[in-house]
Amino acid sequence: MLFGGALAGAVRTSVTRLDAGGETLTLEAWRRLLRDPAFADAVLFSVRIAVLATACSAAVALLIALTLRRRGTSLRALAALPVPVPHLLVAVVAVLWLAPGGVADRLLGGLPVDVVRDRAGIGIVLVYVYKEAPFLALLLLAAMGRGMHEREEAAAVLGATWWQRLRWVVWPTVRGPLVVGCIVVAAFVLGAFEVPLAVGPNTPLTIAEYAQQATQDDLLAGEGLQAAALLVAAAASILLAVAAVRLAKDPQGD
Amino acid sequence: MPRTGRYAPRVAAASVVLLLALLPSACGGGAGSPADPATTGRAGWDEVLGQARGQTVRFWMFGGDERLNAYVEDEVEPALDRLGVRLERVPVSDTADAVRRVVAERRAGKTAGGGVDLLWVNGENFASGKEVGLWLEDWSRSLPNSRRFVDWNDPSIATDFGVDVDDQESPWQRAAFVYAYDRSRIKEPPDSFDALLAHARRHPGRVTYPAPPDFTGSAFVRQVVAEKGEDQAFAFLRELNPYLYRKGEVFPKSQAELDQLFGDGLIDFAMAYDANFVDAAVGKGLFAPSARPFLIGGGALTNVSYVTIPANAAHVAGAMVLADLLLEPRLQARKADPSVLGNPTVLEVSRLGEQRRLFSRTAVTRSEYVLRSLGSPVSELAAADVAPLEQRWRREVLR
Repeated sequence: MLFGGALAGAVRTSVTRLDAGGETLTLEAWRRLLRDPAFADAVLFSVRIAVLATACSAAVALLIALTLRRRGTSLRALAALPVPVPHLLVAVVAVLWLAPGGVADRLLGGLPVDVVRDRAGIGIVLVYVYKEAPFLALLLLAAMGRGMHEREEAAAVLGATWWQRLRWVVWPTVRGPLVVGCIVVAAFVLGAFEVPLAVGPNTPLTIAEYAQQATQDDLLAGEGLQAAALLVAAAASILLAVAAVRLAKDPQGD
Repeated sequence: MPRTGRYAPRVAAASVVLLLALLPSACGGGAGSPADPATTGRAGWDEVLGQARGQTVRFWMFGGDERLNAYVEDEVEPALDRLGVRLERVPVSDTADAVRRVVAERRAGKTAGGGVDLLWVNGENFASGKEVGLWLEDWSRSLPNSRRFVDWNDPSIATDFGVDVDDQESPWQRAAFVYAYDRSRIKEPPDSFDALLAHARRHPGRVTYPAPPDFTGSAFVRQVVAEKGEDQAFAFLRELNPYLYRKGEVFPKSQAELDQLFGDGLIDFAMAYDANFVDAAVGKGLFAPSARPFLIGGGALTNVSYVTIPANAAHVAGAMVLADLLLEPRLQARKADPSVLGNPTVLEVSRLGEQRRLFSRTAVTRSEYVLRSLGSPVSELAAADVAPLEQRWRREVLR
């Protein structure tokens, strides 16, 4: 209800303009949004970051899960430490450490690549990988705990190699939670704001940054533009969430 | 005391404005002439004071300036308390957040009992709100301190970024755009934008400014435009770009980031829309003690900022009492003192009479971190020109 109400409010703001007499119905915000090359850049940049951060997080999560699946709970807890840390805190620490003039710069006399304010968005991706890989690893470890070890042993007894066990036992077990987790991560990164603001470049902007800047340029007309941009991000996240729900119902892909 | 009921606050607001509207006629003095509160308009203002007693005024203001926050808490709040009015400071990271709140209330049809009683505002934010009738009308010139000490014939007071104030906001402070250099590293700071370009050419990567629409970066671009004209200014900015910090591909996103770079010795100049910012930054240990302020061009870009009352404010009388208090000569003098804030006053000092002494004490305390002269002040551009300039900067300089 809360989400629906917020969406309805955003739709209303995107198709009305406030003036002295009240609200006027207009599609001007949508026209401006769809014609603005900066918005197209923002969509591309957001999608690129979401795909890269999700793919890298998934790969790292798989490695962590495969490494830790037979280890004790203390190591697992250690790996899960970044999960409760706020994204903004990680981003701020990244700036303190990795920005020019930061701690790493002073200790090492410069870094080989710029990861803060870089136009490729490497810094944003790194922050999300640090935050999301442990989250995905926890999902995978939970899935692996449900009899997978026994199935692997049975496969080994039947003569399956390491690769065959990975392909026919491990992968089908983790594929469902991994795909669902990845969709959640992608939806989150697509709409995220604070990490790109702290470590991201001046240009291109993410969709959320574009929306924030819209009202800095023009408080009243920018409101409609902001609502329209955020509705695009929300629509993408809803589509991803629907996909996640469908896949969650059929984790084995049957 | 807050009243309940949908229409009560609106009736209260209307009655307070009516009382104030009657003040000038009761005084027999117009906006331009000082009036003696001992003999004029006292009864009407007393009624406003009576209505305000017991109210809590929610004052929405930018909360990122620690010294200003301390000034409001240490100087303004106790003075307001003595009048029986409580102050609740609502800090925001951007004044636009406060305006957005008022806009949201307007969209929701909340015409009274709004969450913002008074807000610190100027420029585009005021102009946007005025355009759609967000602000209370007919009140600011009638405040007792305004009638006595503010020169409404001064265009820098009567217009806000080229927009007529129209009795909808009351002046609070002047700001001047000032630069900083470190005299242990730079012997002579650039005194013109061409000299700044020459410095950047000689020392690539040692100059930068925050990316507009950041407030400070936008002001830098506006000063260049005011000095050179728009097309020449953008030609200058494009020429400057390759010599900037990180070859102009990366700009600080805020003044805080710029200050950090300057404090770390990574760039040669800092800047701020605050005549006293070097003093404050040295005091906090952010800048080296050898940092000094300087001006680029014939004078500092200057503006006046104001306080305004939303038309749907819940505590109009309290907000007016606070707006009037902010114009008290003693509080304005404290604000002008570099050891407190160092903001030039919005009052017409020649009207102060005996109280002029308060400001002469301020002059004595001036430190080496505050400029003695701000040159010939450069006026701000019209509010309507600011957003197009920022967009042009993104198209032509950032890309």
